This record gives sequence, structure tokens and C-alpha cells, in this order.
Amino acid sequence: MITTLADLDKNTAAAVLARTALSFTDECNPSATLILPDEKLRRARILREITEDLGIVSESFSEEELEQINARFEAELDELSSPVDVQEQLRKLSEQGDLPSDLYRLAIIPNVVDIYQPKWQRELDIVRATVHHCDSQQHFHATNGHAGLHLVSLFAKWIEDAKFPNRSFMMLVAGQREGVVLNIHQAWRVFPDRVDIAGVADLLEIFRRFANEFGVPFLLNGKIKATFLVEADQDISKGVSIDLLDEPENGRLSKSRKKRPAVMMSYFTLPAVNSRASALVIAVNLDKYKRALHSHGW
Amino acid sequence: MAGPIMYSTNPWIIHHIVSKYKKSIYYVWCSEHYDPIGSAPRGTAAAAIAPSSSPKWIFDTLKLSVDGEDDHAHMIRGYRRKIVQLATSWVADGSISPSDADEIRAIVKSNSWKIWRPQLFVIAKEPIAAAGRLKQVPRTDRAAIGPEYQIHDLQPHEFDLIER
Repeated sequence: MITTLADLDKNTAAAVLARTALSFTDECNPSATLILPDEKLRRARILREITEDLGIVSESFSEEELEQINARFEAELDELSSPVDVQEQLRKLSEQGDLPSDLYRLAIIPNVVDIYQPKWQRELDIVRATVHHCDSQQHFHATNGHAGLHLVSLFAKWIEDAKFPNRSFMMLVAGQREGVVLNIHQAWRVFPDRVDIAGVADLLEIFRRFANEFGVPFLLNGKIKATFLVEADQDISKGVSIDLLDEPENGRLSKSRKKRPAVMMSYFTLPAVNSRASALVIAVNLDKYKRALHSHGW
Repeated sequence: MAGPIMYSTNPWIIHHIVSKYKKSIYYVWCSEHYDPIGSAPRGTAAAAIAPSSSPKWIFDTLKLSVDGEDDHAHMIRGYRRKIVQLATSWVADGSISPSDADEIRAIVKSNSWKIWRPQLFVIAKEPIAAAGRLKQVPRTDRAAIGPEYQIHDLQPHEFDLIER
């Protein structure tokens, strides 16, 4: 404890010490302005106390001595400050959509893993890079005007293949935030020659265009027809009726059930007022998607 | 030769904190030269700018540290300390709440590397200089004899951001 600050309450002492430390490296910093009437004198005493304690006699500090003094400022400030519950703060940041994306721990649902077998391990590296080192990201929460997509996050990363440019793609990942865990429900390779990504306003629009290409139209509860629903006020996980509609393949409707493509239904389940709702509802024609993967060198 | 642009390199977290908690009014150190070490003619004032004050040197050093996830990176350690000091000072002057300060402290003490990635502020010099807001840093506060500047109230519409 620095004795020069002993007569001050903890918060004031911390503030004086912080301003002293700031002015030590940058006298002009507006956040280092003298506040207390005797603060100029206190700063000189604090610095003298620290340098004497460290055995530093010169007034022209070497690099090593500067580091020692700054380290002491840091240690003393930590002692005066209330401890921070880092995990709780990170959880709050996640809820706001403000958690740095490289802090998310990824939990990926089995449906996503199954799509990319037997090359899942390689795909996992790409998914991880897309979240942790994304080119762009979009986070939804109730207070930014997207209550129906609360806690959903989208990430995108361009994966360049310098040798075979046609194989380059945008990786698109959708997950639901749960503290520092990101529950990933969707991870798609978006090839520009199949999905036009030019001029998109946001990542949600890329999802929509992906659904236009690879989505299977469906009927929700016999009423809503779509290939992609941003928000649905029903909890699909509770067995809401979904009818997949036949889609023309090569211009001809399938006449046999046996020729129906493999389809993956994906959605997020979210809390809603008095109930639960669903978001990012999509039914993907997996056969068509996998053909696209293989034709692009997967 | 100095041109119409001022350059300032800062880690991403600075821009994030100021825009989220401090009403987007930025305090920056800046230089008339992006790369005074590499491009300033010998004998000019710019050639006397310290490497540690070179926007390019700061950018490259931060980028190397982030890409290499260098736990011993001196520059990042310095920024971390400074941000904690700023948060403490801002709580005392009432410009942020204690809860905001806790968020700031948690984020800079976390294991994230991407928050330290460098951003280059590209600032149009003339309007700021004309308004008397471009402050020349006194010699005693400069790292070397070459000129350095500060802007105490830079606003979002006055600069562009570049990330590599």
C-alpha cells in the first residue's frame, strides 16, 4: 500500500493512482488531469515512494526501470480495485453480442458434423477459424431490435483457394450464444457461382440467398409457406407440423417418394414472451448441397 | 514530405471502448508520416521521429504480437495497463459507470487476442489543424526530437479505419 494514499478512501486512492500512472507515461492525457487540490504534490510523493522502494536512484529511467515502475503502478492499482468476476462479465458481454469472437467455446450439433463426414476434422478447423477469426459477424439480441433472434450470432469468413479459385468460398456459421459457449446449428460453404453474394446488406441476407439456392420449400402448420424463415412464433422443437413441398429438380417435379432428396431441417429455439419461438428456419436439400461441395473440390 | 493526412495506430479495443462507453470522442497520438523510418528523407524532422512513435512500426509490432499470440508482448502489456488506468479514471470523473469499468477490465484481462489487432486511423489534417485541435507534443513528452501530435477530441466522421 502506498502510504501517500493512506488517508484517502479506496475509490479516491485508486483514481489518484490511476491518474498518476497515466501522467507518468503521457502528461498531456486528458484523463490524467489534476483533480484533488494537492494532487500534484501527491503524484510526486507516489513516484518517490515507488522509486525508493524499487531502489531506483536515477531520475532518468532506463527501459528496465520504467517497466518496474509501471508494473508497480499496476500491482498497486489491482490491490485498490474491487476484484472483477471475469467470467460473469464475459457472460454479460456475450448476451449483448459484444464478446470477442475468439473467446467462444464451440459446441456443434451432430447434424452439422454428419454433413461433413468423413472430412469433419478439416471442416471443424474451418468452422473454428470462421468464428474465432471471422471477416464479418452479426449478433442479435432483444435490445438491438431483433427480439425474435435473441442470442443468435452469424459469422462469415472468406476461404481462398489460390490454386483453384473456383473452389474458394465463404464459410457461413450460425450459432446461439449461451454464455461463452456458441451452440452451432448451421455451417455452410457458400460458393459465389451458386449463391450471389454481391451487394448483400448483411449476413442474414446471405442466409436468405443460400436458402433460395439450396433450401426446400416447406409449409409451417399448414399456413406459412417459405424456404427460409427469419422468425417464427412457434416452437418447432415441440412438434409443429412441417410439410416439405416437392420442388422441381431439373425442371421436373419428383413423382416418387424414393427420389426425394435428403433434407436437413434446422432452426433455433428461443425464449419468447409467454412461450418459445423459432428462428432461422431452413430446410436444406443435402443431396444438392453435397453435389455442390463435390463439384467445388471438397 | 508531410502531406494532408495524419496517421495514428491503435489496438481495436481502444476504438471499441471509446465508441461503446465514451460517446466516440477519441484521444489519439498521431504523425504526419505513416512510415517515418522508411520514407522520411535524411536530415528532415520526420527522420528524427522515434521508431516507437512510428504508426507503421506500432502497426507491424502489434500485428506480429497478435498473430504470434505472444504472451510476453511488451506493447500489449502497456496497452492493457493503460486501459485499466483509464477505466479507473473515468469512473472517478463520472463518465462511465462502475459496471462499465468492470466490463472493460474483464475484456482486457481476458484471453482474447483479436482485441489487440491494430487499426490505422487515417485522419484529414487540414480541418483539425484549422480549428486549432492539432496539438504539437512538447519535446519533454516525445520519444525523440521528431514531431509528434495529439488530437484530444477526434470524432468518427473525421477519420477512416484500416485493418490489414
